[in-house]
Amino acid sequence: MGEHAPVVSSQRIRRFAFLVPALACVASVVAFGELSIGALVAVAGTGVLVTLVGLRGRAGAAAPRVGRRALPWAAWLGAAVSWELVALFDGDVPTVSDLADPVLAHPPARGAATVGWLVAGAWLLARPSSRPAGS
Amino acid sequence: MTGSSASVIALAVLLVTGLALELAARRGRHVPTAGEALGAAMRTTAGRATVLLAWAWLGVHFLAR
Repeated sequence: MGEHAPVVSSQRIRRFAFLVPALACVASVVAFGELSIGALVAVAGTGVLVTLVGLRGRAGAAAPRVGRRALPWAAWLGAAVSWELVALFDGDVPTVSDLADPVLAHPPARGAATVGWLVAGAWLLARPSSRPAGS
Repeated sequence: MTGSSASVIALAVLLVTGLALELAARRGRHVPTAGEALGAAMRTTAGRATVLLAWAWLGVHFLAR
């Protein structure tokens, strides 16, 4: 047990280090509400922090290659971005955010969406940065 | 058809297509899962920066504007 203790402790510290700003971010978004400087600072600050941690830790550097097998996903992403651009330049067609705004206007939905966004960020940071020993 | 219904239909088609791709990937077809594809996009520094910045922008766009 003794030899695993430092690893467990390190994982706990990492989780705690992510949890504190994450909870502060959710609380700020819910408390300050939409179109507020407070929510903007909390979300943008968390976004910058996670981006810097991911770049510094080389998150995903050791993820397995998928090559051309990912082409269907690239096409799917291209279609989604194309539709958003069409909606953006056509005043009659609402964008995804136009459709989501009425839902996200409610604090509980906004809080839940913030938690989902943070979980996605934590998942991105957890992408393998180095190959496991022996592989 | 109004612009609003066109947008809802287009987004529903995208959602169903995405779910179908994910399902095909999990059934062992010749397609990676969305997670595998996203992870693979993060192998290079440029790809990693793009994915992380896109994630950050989505948060600011939907939650803080």
